[in-house]
Amino acid sequence: MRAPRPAAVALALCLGVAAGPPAAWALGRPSASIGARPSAVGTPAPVPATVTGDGAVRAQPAPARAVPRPGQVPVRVRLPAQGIDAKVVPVGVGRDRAMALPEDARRAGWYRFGPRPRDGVGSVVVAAHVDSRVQGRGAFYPLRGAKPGDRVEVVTQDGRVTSYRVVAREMLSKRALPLEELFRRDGREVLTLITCGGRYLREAGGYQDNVVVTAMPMGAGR
Amino acid sequence: MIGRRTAAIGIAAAAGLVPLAFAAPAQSAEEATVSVLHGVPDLTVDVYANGEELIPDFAPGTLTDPLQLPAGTYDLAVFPAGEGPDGDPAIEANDVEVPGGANATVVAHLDANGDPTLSLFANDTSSVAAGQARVTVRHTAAAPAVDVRAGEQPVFEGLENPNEDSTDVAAGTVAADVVLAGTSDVAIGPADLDLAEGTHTIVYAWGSAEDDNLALATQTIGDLHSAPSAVPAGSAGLADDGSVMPGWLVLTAAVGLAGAAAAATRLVPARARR
Repeated sequence: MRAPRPAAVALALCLGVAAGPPAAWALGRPSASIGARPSAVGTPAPVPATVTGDGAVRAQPAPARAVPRPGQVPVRVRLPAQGIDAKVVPVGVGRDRAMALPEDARRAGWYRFGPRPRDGVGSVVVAAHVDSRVQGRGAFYPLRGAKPGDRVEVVTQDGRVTSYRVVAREMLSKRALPLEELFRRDGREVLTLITCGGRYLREAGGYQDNVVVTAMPMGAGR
Repeated sequence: MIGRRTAAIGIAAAAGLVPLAFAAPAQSAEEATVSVLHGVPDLTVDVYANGEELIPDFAPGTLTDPLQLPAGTYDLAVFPAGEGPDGDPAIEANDVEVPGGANATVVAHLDANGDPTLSLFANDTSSVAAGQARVTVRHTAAAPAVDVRAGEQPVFEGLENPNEDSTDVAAGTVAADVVLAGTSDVAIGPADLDLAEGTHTIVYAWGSAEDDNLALATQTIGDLHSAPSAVPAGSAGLADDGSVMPGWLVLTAAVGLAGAAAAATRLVPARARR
């Protein structure tokens, strides 16, 4: 068998130099998304039924969700496997109807217009900064490392701990974020943790993606 | 108050009533959602639709649950309780058109002069922006024009029977009262209104100023909420995942490609010689 020509060897080497390092770089990056967000349906959700007229007459209609449940307000969120442990405060919407996160990047915000832990229905949304110019890393900086199976604990005002299991972590473009689904108020209960991620382009509004972690109540069917 | 016929039916989504026995399956597209409010003081009534009794012993100040009714045309009549449908109705409205898909409230109430009448109001069930609540006020009382205030600030001004006014506000509890238009003479209230996010609260002023029995009734339509528009959660770029390949890697790859091209030019003539 003849020795390979030197030129052929050089060709192979150079192609290796051209393709190898970029491929290694691409493979070495953490994968953006892992696991699958569960569909809203699956277990029959206890959606409050609209009464379809029996002609019954009563004094006043009971407004939906009028019953105060202060005990179920989240006050702390923990994701021990990633070192997340943050105080949670109720938040609403701010400028341009965007979810309003706490000024303090070390704190997380719970979307107070949506479901609460143990409601048994809808998406409990807790979001926190990945970072801030003033404070550096934020409460949810480690969120992009979350993996399916990680345990999440939400402490509520009544001192109870509600545990969830991560089922999905996704890197979703802010321009195509499924907001109606992430903030849904019906369907099966999930905990949705949100922060920023992806590329940071200062001239294009900063972070281009949201990191979305979906967790299911532990002990709930799966 | 006998035999009065009203023409308050010029509102976009008209509504009507029919005994449940005629109701079509709940998922039919040809249905309307109709609630009924009794806002005539001191008169307990039976409500009839197309000659059939729909609501017996309907007491002032009460509101029915929403009814799912087939689209169609209905004759409505209200009789003093127990008198039966053979005499003259206290109030009636005939040929009331009920379009499919409408959400409406039928209100039996006094007009500005104190005579009983029926009005039909279309209920706005369009989405409310995140963090907001919709509030509507309907003047269905025997009273002059009024202003409606929240925390003593006028929100709706110069509202007359049987008109309504509506706005979307930040969700929360407000102390509402009703004053004679342009004055601070409180006619009703103050009352705490819980304007829950993503809902439509409809407030009815009913009764009679002359008889000193003005009151408020409320109706709430839920599930009109919207999601927030975004979740801005970072500002420093510390977690930039660098989806753009670093420059030195691009350079290395370019050098490799150039070398490969050079080697290839030497290989091709070598083959050609064979």
